[in-house]
Amino acid sequence: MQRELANSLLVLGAIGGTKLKPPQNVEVDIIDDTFTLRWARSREPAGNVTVSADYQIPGIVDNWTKLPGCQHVTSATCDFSSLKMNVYEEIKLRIRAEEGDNTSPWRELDTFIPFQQARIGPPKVHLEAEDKAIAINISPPGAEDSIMWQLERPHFKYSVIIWRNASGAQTWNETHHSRFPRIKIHKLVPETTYCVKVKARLLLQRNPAEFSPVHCVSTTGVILVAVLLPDGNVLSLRAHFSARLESSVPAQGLGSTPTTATARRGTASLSAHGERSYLKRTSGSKSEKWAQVQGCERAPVAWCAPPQDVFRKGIYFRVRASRGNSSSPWSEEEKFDAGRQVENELPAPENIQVILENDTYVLKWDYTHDNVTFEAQWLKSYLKRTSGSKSEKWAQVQGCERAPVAWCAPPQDVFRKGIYFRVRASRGNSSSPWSEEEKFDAGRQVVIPPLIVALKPLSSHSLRVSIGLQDQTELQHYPLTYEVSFWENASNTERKTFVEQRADFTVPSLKPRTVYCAIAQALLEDGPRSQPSNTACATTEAGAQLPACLKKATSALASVAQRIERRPAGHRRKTFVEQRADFTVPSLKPRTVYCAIAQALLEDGPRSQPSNTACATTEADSPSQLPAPQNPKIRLYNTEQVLSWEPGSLSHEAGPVVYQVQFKYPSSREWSDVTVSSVGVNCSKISATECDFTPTGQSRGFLHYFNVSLRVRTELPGLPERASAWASVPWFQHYRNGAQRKHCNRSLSETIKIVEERGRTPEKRSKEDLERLA
Amino acid sequence: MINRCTLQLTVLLCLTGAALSVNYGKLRLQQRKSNSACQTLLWQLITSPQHCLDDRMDFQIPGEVEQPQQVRKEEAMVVMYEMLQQIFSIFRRGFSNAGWNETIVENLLEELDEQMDRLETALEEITREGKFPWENRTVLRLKTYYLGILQYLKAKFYSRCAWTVVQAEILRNFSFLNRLIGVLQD
Repeated sequence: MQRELANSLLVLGAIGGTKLKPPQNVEVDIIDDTFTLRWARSREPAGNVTVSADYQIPGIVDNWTKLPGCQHVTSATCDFSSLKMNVYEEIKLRIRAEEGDNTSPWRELDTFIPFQQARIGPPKVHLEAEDKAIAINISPPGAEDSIMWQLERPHFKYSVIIWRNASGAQTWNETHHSRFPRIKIHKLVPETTYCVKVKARLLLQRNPAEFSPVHCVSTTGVILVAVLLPDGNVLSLRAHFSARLESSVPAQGLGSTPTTATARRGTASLSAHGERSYLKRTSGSKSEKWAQVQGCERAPVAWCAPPQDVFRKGIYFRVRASRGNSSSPWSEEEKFDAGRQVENELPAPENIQVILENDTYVLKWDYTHDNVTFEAQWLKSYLKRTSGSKSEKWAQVQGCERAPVAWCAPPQDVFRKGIYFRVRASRGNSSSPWSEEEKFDAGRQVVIPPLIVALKPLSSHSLRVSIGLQDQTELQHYPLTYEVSFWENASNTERKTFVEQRADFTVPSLKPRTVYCAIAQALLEDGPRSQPSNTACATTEAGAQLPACLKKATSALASVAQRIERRPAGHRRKTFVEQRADFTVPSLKPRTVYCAIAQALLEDGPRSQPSNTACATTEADSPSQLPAPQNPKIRLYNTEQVLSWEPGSLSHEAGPVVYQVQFKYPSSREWSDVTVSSVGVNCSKISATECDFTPTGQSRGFLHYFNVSLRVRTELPGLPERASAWASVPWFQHYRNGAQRKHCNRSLSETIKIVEERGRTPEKRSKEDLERLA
Repeated sequence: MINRCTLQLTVLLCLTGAALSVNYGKLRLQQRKSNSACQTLLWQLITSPQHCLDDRMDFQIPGEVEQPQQVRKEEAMVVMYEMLQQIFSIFRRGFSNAGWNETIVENLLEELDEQMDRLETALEEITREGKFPWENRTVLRLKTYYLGILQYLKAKFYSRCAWTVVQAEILRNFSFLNRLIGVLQD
């Protein structure tokens, strides 16, 4: 209705010079470098209605300018490809109809950017067939001097659709996406026609694209071939069963029907027929007299060796497979051509891999046949980005020119950045096709900096492994896994390997006083390894199976002693059951030798072996020394660091005592007082029985990653010579989480037996004692 | 290789349930290392800048590349990819006049190829995630910029000085790339 009105108005306009309408349904169509403007033809057949267009490039051509190729156009399209413009910039068009002096109003089109609007034209395709593969060489769309794609030509990505050109039920097709202009599709069926169509696309843009025309090619290779075997004389028929044999044996009856072969390819017994070829010239089915090939009636393999007189001129062969009652259709008939005897059908190697063996990269592949040599080639992957077959410059891999085995070890400098490998087999004059190309990525993109491993004895049964990286900054993002090889230095026992994700861990269940060594390697998720670290060795602590601190308890007793005196006495044992690892045995006789032996128990029963026997003598009655502080303990909780102790028994002392705390780092040789200036807190000559190092405003506390040793003693103010012995706190390291790993603070009940010994001479005892006190 | 591409795609598709996504920390580390290698190689190529002062040219790199504002990491990847692509194309052209050591240029192309390869994988992944920044105008402005460099080389008949000037400009490009790499945070 409205259109009729419009049309009649047009007619009126044509006659009476009234309004002309601008063209309708205007579209800009760009494909490669061809720019076309399209509109709906005016319904009005009469008159000289022409169309003209203008363009404007904001910022460059600000005034409306005549669009070349689109002036006074009578048809319904115009081509303005001749306009020189920057395809990455916005352009505006307007269009109107004209008739004589009469012009329609301008119709402005939406601004567009030609590069974003353009459709990608069909690429050019060239196919090359092998027997089980097709190589597709693609040239980018557009002309070589294309303006639209001049920056894109090397960077198009391609989609390839391939299908089998056969009629029948099974239509097979595949889509392959390629980043490069050359792809090879493998694992195809020989002697089959395949068709291909390709379209290009850009990675960063969404331009629609057109497919190339369809190209078809047939794979070469024969299904039936006569082969000359290495010993020169025997000819045999070799059949390649590329097609699958459909089994009609029902699933449950699998056991019942014996099959002659269970190869995946479904080979079964082979029967071959031969026919004189001249018989083919005569028509009529009766005249095709196929005869059984002797020796090939029920061949269990995919070949058979008939008597040689079968192989004469002009004979056709056909083969079929059977299993039980069912058999395949006859294969295609193959004419035996005496001239084609030496048809060696070597398959391409498969499963190319690069494997790291003992720090050396080795190229490996799989191959089914024997008696062949292999040749490997490599290509730098950046060369794949350019089209044209001459730019694929495959080079021989040194050391792999004639490999007799299915691997080779080329010089390591081949294994650099992204490279591709391919391998083929040869026997005599003939060679197999090239294998599929396998990309190798050195993985050296990430080099893990050298590792440093440290071993620290924790007790007589465990060592702590600490692994650090020299340069740790960036690698926090990586999940690094550590492989630590751990062994006993002296013996030849097998190395244990620990695979840990933690950089600090404990190795338990070790033998005391043994030197153990460790070496570590770091791995990233997908493979690259660091160089092995340094080898670190450490010795587990000596003697008792007791945790270290318990041992120190027994020796703490000993440290009180000054002299060892002979003191005959009766044999009497007292048993103490303690949960503390350090405690005092009071009420002893002065100047007596006492010995102790300890056993540890866990709540639910298991006991440790008895410890060493430690002996010490109590002091003489003269109070020459103050008793040392007892039970020094460190409390570490989050940032809290508090050392506390109990005063020694002061039965015979009058007057206040003070305490002195000292600290030492492993690297320093001297002990230092804990003062405000050194640590930030004053624990020198204090009367309190604790020292709080918690980092606050005043106290710096001890830094987190250092081992700090602490010791405390009792002093009489003003009489330093009467100071007690030092009571040491086991070394600690303030770990990130704050809580100290207190080996002794498990729930152990400890049984301590004190043996009061009599009658042992100092000389006899001293050597043992010295050992045990060590 | 084609089958590997399809395999990669298939594997990635199968693993989308397992939240496989771009590991930006790793990508950043790798790209940064590669980028330094490129800069080092380019420095080795520059021969005689002294007497080329007359050939200097302001190619007018887009402002947002020179002075990057807040940009999403997907946008940064796209911009980086475009730059790497174009730099690769430039060094594939006829540089016989430049008198460069061919091995160094090959090494540079290898590094660029590797960077592009990594970004291609990451970009395919973000496309799958639906996060691809399709309407990125910076990429178009960069194309104008690189077109300018190309036209300059053609106009100067790929002379030695023209190549030297272009090298200096590409060196600047690498420092901008470094800044973009820094955007790739998880």
